[in-house]
Amino acid sequence: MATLKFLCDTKRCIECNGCVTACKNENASALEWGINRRRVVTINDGKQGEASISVACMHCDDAPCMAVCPANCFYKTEDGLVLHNKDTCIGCGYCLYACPFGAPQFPKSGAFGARGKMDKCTFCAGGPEENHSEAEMKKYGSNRIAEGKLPMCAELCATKSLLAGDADVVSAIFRERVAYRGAKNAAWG
Amino acid sequence: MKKQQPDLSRRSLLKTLTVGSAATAVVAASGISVAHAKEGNAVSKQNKDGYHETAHIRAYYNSLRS
Repeated sequence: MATLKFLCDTKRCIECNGCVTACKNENASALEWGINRRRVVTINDGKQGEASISVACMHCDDAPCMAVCPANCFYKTEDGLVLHNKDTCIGCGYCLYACPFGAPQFPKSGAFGARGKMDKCTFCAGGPEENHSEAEMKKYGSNRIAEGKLPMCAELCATKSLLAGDADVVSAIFRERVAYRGAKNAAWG
Repeated sequence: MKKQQPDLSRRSLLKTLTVGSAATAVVAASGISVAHAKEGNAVSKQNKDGYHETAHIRAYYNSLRS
């Protein structure tokens, strides 16, 4: 059984935000105003050693969001994806405090202080509803995994910086890249 | 002397409340079983339609190596 993971090759990321746009477009049916499931973070912007990394839910093995959720709305699929059920989410925001990547997002269009249902990257795997149903599209966006595809953000990455898929395959590809570069500090940063 | 009759309307109210709460419990229990069934469906859905390596995905992996 595969474990699905994202990996961002920071040597290739050019901060084009194509992944953010691709995600937003693919899951538009589920995303309320102001929600971006993915974002690009740049460090040392404009200075020597500048690096960008595309960040969303990392579908942690021991997910802190899952551990702290008082409503138990998270579940893990057999592919290692951390998904959640919006019907049981109470919008408390504990998951946001617990997540080291800031992945959980909350609607910004409501009244001040009202968080609403949490939204986050689903690895384009939908939710607990029936595959490709109207409810699934409305609550979670597309379900490309069921179609035999991978997340839109990774598939559309122009520089092939954002890798997604079976962790064994993705890490092997990244290892090949690092070996090919052959330079000191060629992997990160 | 007139015998004092108990106020039956008050007792019937209590009866109604008892029957009502029992009915609510039954509905809630069935709701829980429906919810469990739904979760079960979600798991089986994942078994059936989870990640599987297709030609599309293999082409994507190959594009990463270029």
